[in-house]
Amino acid sequence: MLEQCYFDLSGLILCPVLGSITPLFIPNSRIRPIRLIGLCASLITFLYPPVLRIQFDPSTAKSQFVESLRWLPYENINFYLGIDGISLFFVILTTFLIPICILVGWSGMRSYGKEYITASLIREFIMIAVFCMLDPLLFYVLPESVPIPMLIIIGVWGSRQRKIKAAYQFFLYTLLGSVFMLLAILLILLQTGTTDLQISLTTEFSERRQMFLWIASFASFAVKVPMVPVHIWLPEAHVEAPTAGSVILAGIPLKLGTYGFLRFSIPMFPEATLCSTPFIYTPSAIAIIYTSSTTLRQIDLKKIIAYSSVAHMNLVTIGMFSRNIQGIGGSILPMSSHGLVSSALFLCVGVLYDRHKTRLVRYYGGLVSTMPNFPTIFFSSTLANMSSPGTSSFIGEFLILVGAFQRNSLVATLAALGMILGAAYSLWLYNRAVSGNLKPDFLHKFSDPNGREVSIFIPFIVGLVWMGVHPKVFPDCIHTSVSNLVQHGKFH
Amino acid sequence: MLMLISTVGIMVLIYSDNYMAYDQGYLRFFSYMSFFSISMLGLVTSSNLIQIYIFWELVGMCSYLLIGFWFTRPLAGNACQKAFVTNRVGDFGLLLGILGFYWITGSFEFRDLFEIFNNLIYNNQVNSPFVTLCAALLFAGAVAKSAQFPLHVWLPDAMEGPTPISALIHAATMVAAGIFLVARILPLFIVIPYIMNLISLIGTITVFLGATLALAQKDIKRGLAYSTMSQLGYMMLALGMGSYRNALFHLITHAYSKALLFLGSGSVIHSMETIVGYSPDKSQNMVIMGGLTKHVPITKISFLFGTLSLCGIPPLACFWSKDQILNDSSLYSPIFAIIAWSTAALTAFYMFRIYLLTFEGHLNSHFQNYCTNKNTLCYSISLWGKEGSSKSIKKDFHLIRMTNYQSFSFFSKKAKKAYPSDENVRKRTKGRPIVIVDTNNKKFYSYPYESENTMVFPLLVLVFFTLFVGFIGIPFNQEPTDLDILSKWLSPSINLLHQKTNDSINWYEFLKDAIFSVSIAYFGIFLASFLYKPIYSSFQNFDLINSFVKTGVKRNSSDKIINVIYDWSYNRAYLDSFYRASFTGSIRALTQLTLFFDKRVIDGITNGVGVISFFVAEGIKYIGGGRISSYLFFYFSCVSIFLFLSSSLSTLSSVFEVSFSFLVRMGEGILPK
Repeated sequence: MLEQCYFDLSGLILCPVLGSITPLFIPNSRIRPIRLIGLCASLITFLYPPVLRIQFDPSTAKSQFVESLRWLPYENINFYLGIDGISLFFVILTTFLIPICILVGWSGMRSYGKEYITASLIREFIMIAVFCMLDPLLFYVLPESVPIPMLIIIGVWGSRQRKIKAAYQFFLYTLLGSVFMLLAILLILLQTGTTDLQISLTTEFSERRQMFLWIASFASFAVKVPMVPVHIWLPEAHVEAPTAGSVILAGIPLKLGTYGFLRFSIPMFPEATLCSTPFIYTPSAIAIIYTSSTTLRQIDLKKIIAYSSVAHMNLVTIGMFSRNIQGIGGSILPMSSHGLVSSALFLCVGVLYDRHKTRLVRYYGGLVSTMPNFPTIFFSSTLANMSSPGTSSFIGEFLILVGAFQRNSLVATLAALGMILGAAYSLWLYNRAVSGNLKPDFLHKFSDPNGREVSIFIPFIVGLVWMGVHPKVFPDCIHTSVSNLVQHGKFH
Repeated sequence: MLMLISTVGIMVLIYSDNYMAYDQGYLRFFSYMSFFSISMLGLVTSSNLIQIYIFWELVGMCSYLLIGFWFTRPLAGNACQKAFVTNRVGDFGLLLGILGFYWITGSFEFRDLFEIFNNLIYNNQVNSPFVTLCAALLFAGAVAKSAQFPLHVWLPDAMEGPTPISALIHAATMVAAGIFLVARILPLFIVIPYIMNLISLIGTITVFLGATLALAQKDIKRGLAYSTMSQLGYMMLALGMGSYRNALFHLITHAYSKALLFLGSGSVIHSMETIVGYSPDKSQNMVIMGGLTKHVPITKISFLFGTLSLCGIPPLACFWSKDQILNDSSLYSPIFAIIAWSTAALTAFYMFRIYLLTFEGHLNSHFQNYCTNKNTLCYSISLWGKEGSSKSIKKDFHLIRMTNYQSFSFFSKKAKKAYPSDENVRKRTKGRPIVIVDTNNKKFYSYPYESENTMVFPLLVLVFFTLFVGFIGIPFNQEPTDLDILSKWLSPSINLLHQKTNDSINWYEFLKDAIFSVSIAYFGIFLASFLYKPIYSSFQNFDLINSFVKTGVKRNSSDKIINVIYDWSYNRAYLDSFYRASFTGSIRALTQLTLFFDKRVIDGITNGVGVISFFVAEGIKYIGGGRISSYLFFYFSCVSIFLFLSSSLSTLSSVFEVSFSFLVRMGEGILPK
């Protein structure tokens, strides 16, 4: 493997690293320059992907902007970067969400402000690297390091005592799953002599070995998706995390599981994927119904959104394993749109929590008469959450259902049933929080979102509507990669 | 359809300029309305199923927003949620139906869809139960949107929205979308006989149910809503019989008449508000109304026209279309025909009940106490919070009602005028949300007044339409080839149906049927006036109308039957409570179960692992006490146990051999080589 290094992707990765190191040299007392540096670093990082997008060539399925550095020469393990149509939007989403997080914590994070900036930027570095990584070993190492900054963020800036439990649960669950992944990677390393993804993709594994590898990687990814019954860490972590933590958790780490399926399980083990489709479909369909109905009974604003995220991610896995272009292409869209939708909803909850210091639905009501702008934002996100047409999630979910219906109409029916429940819980949440009568016994401060908050929300709303009204951009970039994936898997 | 939406839409917009002038959400209202019109136009102009689905949902969303327009009323909040979720059930069916047909034919475009599908049917290449299922699912979408029988529950509740909305969305356009959809994909349905039967059956049930439920509603808008439902049932019935043209004809005529009626009722409500205050429970209550003829003559006349039209009295619009549907039904099936004919009488009855209660007799506004005492859900103010919530502030400020007692300005001046005063109030109350309302304007205007020109003008235009729109569909039968205007418009779509519409009814039969239907309608009217007209004296009047269950018109044995019918009708055939008990209840139980499962079992496993490992670790802690002798003891005891086991194993090896080798083989199989 040639060593090549341009400044495209490594620059993208190094930028947040520099941003996270610089504040360490500034004393804690001067919080303002620290924040500015953090914001600038994340904004510069955000400006990178559009440049990449312009140079990006959607007509090829190969990885682009490839860079490779020798990392462990003994075992042919390289630091091997590159993006293709599938990962491009995840990189963009990551770089988009981090400045938002820094802005969210702008005035809220009084304690440990410097550490907050550093943690956010390190997280950004890790996550961009994950999506660019083309080496399974590093693809094990990096996702496993995502929980570490998350653990810190939940543990340090969380709101209640229970946060310690949540952080542990989050960490242990992901760790438990990924142990099997390590085994799988070692096995791949033994057979192929390298962990290069491109080489492993062309390797033919025997069927039995494929099955083992598939199950091992499934154990890791299923926890991250999360699929029922290993989903319990997600609501816990969301509830205990600060707003910015929830935003990023819903935005990116939640996508690692499905991204892993897409990058790892489906292309490398096509036969095993074929065999194991019922194994994915059944728990996903159960999960959609199960979590949707659980959502209906939740009383915590954040838990409602967290459970609905579980339902949406399971819809994504259904689409992914329908193994046709509509399904897989459709499953990438809601992954990116869900990053926007649930993040926006968590931000809405954050706005409420900042004002009233409670997240129980019971105490809210009639907000519309005191905060007229807020419900507009909230309603747009709610619409997107129940995948109403004209918002981003509709396109993806529709494609997923089209794809899934061709494989198994029963599963598609169950998945569509989740749509009714989705409308029910989204509207229920919105109605109870926003309309009705004000409860002045509980709520005292009334103020609409201020300039900072509105400016945080605007890009979300724009993104949601843009993806919903003009979705053509996304399939254009994705299409070649996806069809390559489908053809490679010989699913037809 | 396009023309219908634009004409009704523009009329309603003009009308609501005045109607909503005092409302704080004036701008919001108009933006919603325009958005609705956009999506509705998008819906009728779309040429494929996906586009239909998208606009279908958008229309539903606008309807949600508009029903919940007065969002501080919990009733409105519940109503809009109910409407959306019920519609979502239909959408679920629609989506699955679309996907199913996509799977069968591989196309979303109507034209291709019909062609491919008909070819497939022709060559017998489809799995007919599956096709029927898909078609039934598609139909479910239309059922929900057009408020047909199992999913009709949202429509009466949707009357919580402002009246222009009820006129535009829940009478003229949106609810007709379901009919439109079925008409659009009728070429698909028409080759599946089961579906056609299902459609006509659902239509018939809805016709009858809607008409009976409309009999005893006290709220003027609810009564009209059930009547809408019944009329939509007529259209569905016509579609189920395959008479595409008549369904659309009735759709158009009904849309104009019903929009007229709703706008008229809006005008009535508006005028009642000056007397009874801003409260839908009172201003829309027909018990309180009566004798409005003196005060609102123009509204009265236009309302009368609408009523007559809906009853099917010639030469008003609905007569022509309804008559044709009734004819068709008598050709189609005798049972359906009997139901349809008898419902025509019921229609006349309930429409005239509404009309007589509203406009004839004496004004019963002094019964308003009845309402305030009886109805706990009565919020006598205000958009922005109920009375209870602003109780603490009420001492300081009179509640200033923004229903203005001065002249209305033509456009939004009034709204602008209203805002500053509201701002002032807000400032004075330090941003607290109270409103609004001057209590003493009741003194000045104890009588209802006729609405302003902006409201009357659309009424008159709609009267014009109601009078004349029927003529576009009259089968002037001079030459067999010369079709009427409507058929000409529809002919391109009809050609798709591969069938001939049977327009050549000769005048004699037509006259015979028409006389029959008109006489039935007159019978209904007569019955209504018999029951509701002669009761003039005020207090008895109230008793009789409201609860002729208890006092009764005629104290005889038929009382009980009336009783039962009245209760059944007033309680909406107990369907709402049935749904509440069955579906909502079961979903609640299910969610309770899953929540329990989630909290106890899934989380319990995690916690259990934690607890067990804690105890195990506690146990092991004592083993590692630091004494060499105990370590040695532990070590040797383990070794001895192991030795013992292996020796006993060797003796039992013959037994275990098979299974052991099997295990080994399994291990080889699973473990990597």
